[in-house]
Amino acid sequence: MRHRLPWIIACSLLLYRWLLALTPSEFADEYTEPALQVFHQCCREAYRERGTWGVLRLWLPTFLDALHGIVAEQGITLKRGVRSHLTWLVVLALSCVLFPFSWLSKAWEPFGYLFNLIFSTPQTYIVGHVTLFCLTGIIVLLFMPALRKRARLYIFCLMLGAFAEEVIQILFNAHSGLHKDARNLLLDLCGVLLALLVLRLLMGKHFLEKNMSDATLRNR
Amino acid sequence: MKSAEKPEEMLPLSPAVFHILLALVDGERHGYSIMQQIAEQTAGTLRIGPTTLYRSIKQMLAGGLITEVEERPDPALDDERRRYYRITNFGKLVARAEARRLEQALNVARHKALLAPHTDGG
Repeated sequence: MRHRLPWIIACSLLLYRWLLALTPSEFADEYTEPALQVFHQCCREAYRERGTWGVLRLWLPTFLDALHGIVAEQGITLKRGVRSHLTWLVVLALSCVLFPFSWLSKAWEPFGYLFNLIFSTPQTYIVGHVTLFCLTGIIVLLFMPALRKRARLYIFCLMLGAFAEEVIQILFNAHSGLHKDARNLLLDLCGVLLALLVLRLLMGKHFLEKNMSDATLRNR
Repeated sequence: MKSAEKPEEMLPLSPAVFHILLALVDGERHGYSIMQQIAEQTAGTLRIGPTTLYRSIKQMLAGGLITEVEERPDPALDDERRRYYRITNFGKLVARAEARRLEQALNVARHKALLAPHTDGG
């Protein structure tokens, strides 16, 4: 025979189930039922000893514990998400930098048409190289804030990427135009420095705006 | 918590994790039984809620400190939602290492007379 639950226990279990639903699905799917089962037993024990008041006394510690758990588990999931996005962005930026575009332009005609359209004149060639490394630099600086204050390390890492790109281009194009490669590296360096400049200007503006709003608040 | 090679790499343990390990040293237990055992072994000074219990269990499973027991009791005799956990050999090593670490701290406290016998006169 199935006994009917006292209203206070049914209500407590419902509230606790709602709270657990706020945890990330990975945790909720796996642990909602066992956690509810444990809480159910705690409620039954408290009800047996002190009735409704006994169950009510369980609410504060249990629900605070659940809230703390929700925040902590959501934090873990968020961190993991940011890390995986960061990995993808860095992989994307590196693929853009290291991809043998000029080889593909020869191997695949439609792409070659587009590639030659962009890099048709020496001027657009310069703009293309600088833009590619400027965008890569901005992505790297946005997602690796520690590098913003370590300019030398940032330049070294990006130039290592630029060097790798030139090696790949040489391998795929089977040429050794050293003067051309040196010029490309110089253009890449301009892009890398431009990204640093842009980020620092933006950060400086943000810093200035924040200081101004703080000063306005102080004057009021 | 990541699975580590050396028990020392898992230290320090949170009080909840350490007491769950201690509760499981005697044998396998389910969640509610672990909570009761912790209350008993700490004389009620440490009470963990079901959410902290299962968050710790999740970490400990990932770290290889405990394992879930596959064989479930007959649903007619026990609630089928109950899960039983068992400490692993690695879990025992980690618990031992944590106990040693705490013992060291306790010795320092004794040495500095922090644990001198309490006198009523102050």
